[in-house]
Amino acid sequence: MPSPALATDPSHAALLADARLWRATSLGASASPCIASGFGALDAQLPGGGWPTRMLSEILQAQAGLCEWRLLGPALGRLLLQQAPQQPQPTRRKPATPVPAARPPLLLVNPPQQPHLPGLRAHGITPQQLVWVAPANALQALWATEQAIKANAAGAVLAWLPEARPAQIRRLQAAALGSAAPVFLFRPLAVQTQSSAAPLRLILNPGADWSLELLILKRRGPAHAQALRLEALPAELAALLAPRQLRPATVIAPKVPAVPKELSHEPKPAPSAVLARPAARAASLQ
Amino acid sequence: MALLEEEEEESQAVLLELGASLRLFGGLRALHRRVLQEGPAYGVQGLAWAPTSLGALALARAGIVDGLTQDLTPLLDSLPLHSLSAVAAHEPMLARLGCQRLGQLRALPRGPTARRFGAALLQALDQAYGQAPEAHAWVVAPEQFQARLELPYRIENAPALSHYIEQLLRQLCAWLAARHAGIKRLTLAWQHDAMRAREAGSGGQLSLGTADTTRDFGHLARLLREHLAQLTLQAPVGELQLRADEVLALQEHSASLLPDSPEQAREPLNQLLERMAVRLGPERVRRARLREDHRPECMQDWLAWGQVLPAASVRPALQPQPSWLLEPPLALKTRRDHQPLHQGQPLQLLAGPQRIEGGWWGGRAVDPQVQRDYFLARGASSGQSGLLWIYQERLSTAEQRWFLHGVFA
Repeated sequence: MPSPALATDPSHAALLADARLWRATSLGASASPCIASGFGALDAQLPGGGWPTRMLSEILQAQAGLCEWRLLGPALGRLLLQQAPQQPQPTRRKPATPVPAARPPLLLVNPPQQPHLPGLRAHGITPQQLVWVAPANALQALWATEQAIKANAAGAVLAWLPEARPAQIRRLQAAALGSAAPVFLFRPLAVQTQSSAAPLRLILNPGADWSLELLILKRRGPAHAQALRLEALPAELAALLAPRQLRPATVIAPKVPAVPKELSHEPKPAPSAVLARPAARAASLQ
Repeated sequence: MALLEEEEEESQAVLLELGASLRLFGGLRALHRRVLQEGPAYGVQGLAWAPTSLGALALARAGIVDGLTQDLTPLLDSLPLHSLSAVAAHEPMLARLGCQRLGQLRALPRGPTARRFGAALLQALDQAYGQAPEAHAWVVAPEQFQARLELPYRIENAPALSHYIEQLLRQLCAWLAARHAGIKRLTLAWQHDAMRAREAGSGGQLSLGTADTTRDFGHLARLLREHLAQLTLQAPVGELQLRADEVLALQEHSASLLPDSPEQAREPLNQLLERMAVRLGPERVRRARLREDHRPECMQDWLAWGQVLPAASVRPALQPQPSWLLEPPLALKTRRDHQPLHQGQPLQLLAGPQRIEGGWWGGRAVDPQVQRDYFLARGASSGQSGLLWIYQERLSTAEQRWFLHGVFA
């Protein structure tokens, strides 16, 4: 806590306004531009107020391919709408061919499933923008990711790296320092206990109802213990659902068909158990 | 601009008239240093400066570099007769007359010399000493580029070739620069050594294409290195050839006065994807084309890198579409009461059915005929499950009728 004497002293106030000075209780500011995530609750918790550029953002998931686009869709849609930085064109002459409005490309490295472009259209991603790189093995995936980051040619890079080791992530982070595009790495939940060079680490899970459950494992600034609940129902699905289904799960839960007892006791990961651990650790650190 | 001239005789030499371009290259000393540094890569073995072209050539043959700061006449006088090509032709006869040096030849009376040896001899002598004007033809780059290089030793390992290929590539880039052109396709061929195994064949070749017209040496060298890394040579290689196949005019951009902004791509996307396609295989770098179809698996075609992406305007689908598509669809187990299960969890159907039928018009292999009812589903137990796009085969008697086809991720 800042002492009152410190805050009132004018010389200290000037010192505190200096961007280079960072206090552990305040959220880290970001020197690089950030991209609004489209979720106000998340933006408030991310240093710089959005997804960072010039660094890696690591998203850990229990199962890949469940809710990536619901989380990143709003940010990517806005980011990829912008005009790509063009090669300098000679101004006096008209270009020989009319250059179509170039939008920055989106690079997917090693996605868990086949991207379905008609569905991604809803997020504002056009077919011309998307490039799907499908490496044959983990080493190729790392190489392709590193080259994509280094080239700095894409509007955003999304890479699924289930087998990457901490040293390899460190190398990617070093490359990402020069990349103007946000880089998202999707990794399995099992690596949450490993150290990682990525300055932003999140755990993403589909939550109850239509929400996403997001836990900030690491960020620049104080630890954040509670899980965030982001309402992320794709707009076109909302039109499809009955109003009854849009209400909280507790209301419709009894209407679920009765589940036979032997099946309902199948072992399945308890959501709270998974999420409790890092939160407890963060609490013990404070 | 430097005027390029070439001596096409027994000893190859390039003459450059630089009087008007010294400022461009930052002065004589800077240019001299640069030629010394970069020359060896292009095969330059000797260098000489002189006020006249034939004089410079004669000095270069004698191994004297500087003919500018000293008086040229005494320098040339001391050179042997074979330093000038026109004189070298008459060297045996002149030697019998007692002439060993150019100075001695110049001392002979001009009239009898011209009658005996022809006017060309005296003409060349006068030009070398700067007493007669010189006229040269411009060098015109050949229409076709084809260069060969004999390796100094036999190379068995493909990546080791890259150093020599870069020499050829430099020549290619210089040729392209002279023609203000770029390249889209080139061929690298190699000849195997004569002492090869019989089944190895006489050589091989590699064709290389780029997406954009380019004469960027760095990009071409990187591409070739990627190709070489995947190449296994059948036998040691003794000779290399490089040929330009598709040469196109290149629209050049002026460089910026200010340094590049960090936002600018360090490597254009096409070059990046090209390199990826070479290393991973073109079918692993994919771009999609949309098709107007109502069956989810027929809505898009994935094309390997290098295939032309036609511009197509496709109307958006009427129904919500998932963002991931499982190909092929994943068969779901069912409970006894026919409720589908996913990862051991019963699925709750949220919306549907959306009936999708059709495909009778195509062959079975290309266009699957489908009769399906699509549902939006998710795990029945509280949360922790994605939004799934599942379907039930209609009119099917098979055991497994439920399939997972997509995820609203």
